[in-house]
Amino acid sequence: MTASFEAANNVIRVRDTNGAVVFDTGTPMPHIAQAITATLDHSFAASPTSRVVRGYNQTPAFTSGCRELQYICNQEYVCRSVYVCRQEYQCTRDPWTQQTTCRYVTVCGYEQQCGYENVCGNEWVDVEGYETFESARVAAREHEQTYTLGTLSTGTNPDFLLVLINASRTRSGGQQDYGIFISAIPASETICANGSTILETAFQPNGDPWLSRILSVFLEGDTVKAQFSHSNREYTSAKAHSSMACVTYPSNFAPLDDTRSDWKIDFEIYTGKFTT
Amino acid sequence: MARTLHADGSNGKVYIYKGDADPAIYATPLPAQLGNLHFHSDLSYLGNTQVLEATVTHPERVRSSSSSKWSGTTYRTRQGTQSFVLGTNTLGTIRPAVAFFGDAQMPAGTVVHKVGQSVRAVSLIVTADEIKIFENWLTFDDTLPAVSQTYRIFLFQTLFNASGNTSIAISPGTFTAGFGKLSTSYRYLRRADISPDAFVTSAPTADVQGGGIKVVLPDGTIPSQSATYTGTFTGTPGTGVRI
Repeated sequence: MTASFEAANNVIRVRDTNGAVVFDTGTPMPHIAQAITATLDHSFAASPTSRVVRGYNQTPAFTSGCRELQYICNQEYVCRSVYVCRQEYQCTRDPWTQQTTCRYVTVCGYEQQCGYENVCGNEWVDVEGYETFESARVAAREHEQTYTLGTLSTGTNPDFLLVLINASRTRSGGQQDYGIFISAIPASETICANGSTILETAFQPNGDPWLSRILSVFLEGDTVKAQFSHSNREYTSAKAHSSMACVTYPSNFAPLDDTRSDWKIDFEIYTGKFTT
Repeated sequence: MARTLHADGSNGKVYIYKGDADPAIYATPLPAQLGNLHFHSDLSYLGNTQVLEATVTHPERVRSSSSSKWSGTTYRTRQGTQSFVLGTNTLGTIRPAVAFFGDAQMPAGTVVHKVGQSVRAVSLIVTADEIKIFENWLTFDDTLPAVSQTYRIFLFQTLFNASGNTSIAISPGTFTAGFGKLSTSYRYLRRADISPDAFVTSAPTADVQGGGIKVVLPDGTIPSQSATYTGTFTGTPGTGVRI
């Protein structure tokens, strides 16, 4: 078969040697009206964060490590060596006269004396501790920011965009349950990014996302725009932090989450237009 | 409506346009005239598309061995990345593309596998030598088993530069016009309202609201909508094209 050129019935058609239609005015082929390059730096601001108390607990005295000085009196069985003198009635017999003489004499010496006593004094005593469980909480936030990447000649009115981007996450937001937000955007590689691109996601325990960030490249008349969209619902970290104190329940100790991410993106955009 | 093919004998320009107006008015087309042009040698086209279909076996991603993740303070997520080569870039240069995951066009960052809260998401990488899939995976409570996913890629050659000095020529084996920009050597992207191979769009294909995400492709299909999505995004129809 030969290549062919036809002009019939208001249609111009070209076929290749296989008979396949290469060009047909009935099925127009688009042209690239313009190629645009641009670079953007965008920061997804951090969502407000706070701490939430998950519970309280009193820790046993023997494990708390808490001690306090107390004035304590105890009944104690005490033995002491005491110097004691007694009057003893002693009799002696004179061997010469055979007379017996009796009299009281004082006899002294040490002896052990025991008994219960009330012993008082200041003592360090193990006491219960106060334990608090806290988690970080990220407040819900919705945010969009739109940038102009380029403007085509007035009246071009293109029909579609083919987008390549080279993106780098220069600062990674995260959440302590999962670490940094998952992102399938490789650093410093050119990727296909037509329509919308999912930049970052964070999932809650059932697998649905609680935070999503996307980039959309779109046309508004003759203007090519990039929109960064952020959305997160309130998320309370499943990870609980505990802290213990000896006087009162501690508070405001759980580390907060930093959800801010920064992106640098180079765009290469082809604006296409069909015959109308 | 009539169609006119004009080859200019003085400058070699070739153009095909709607109607039978004086060819001189399209010699150097204005933006407002572009919609009337089926072909013009001054313009750039998408041709010689490389079609690549490949199946990748994403390996198992084993969760942390920690058994205590939702209580206490032991949280051991695992996260990593890996690139997989789908094939050679036969164009030898970085060009725009359309990627499919299964039967659906695939926005960059698409989640292609999820078990519980463990996920893997991918993007299409185009280098001058190769076409690759980049995976970012994260495991928490569940191991991601190995999974095979099929990707189809259309990589578009952009015919920006004129080649040679042939204004228009036809021979038994070839037809060429516009200094090589219209040639039977190429396969052009063409509009197809019925059974298109792919869709092109000028609008967002996803929206986020309530922390969730909804993806609406240019063909109107909804490949993913999270239960957490609270918006009303309906997408914008794109234009079907055939390779």
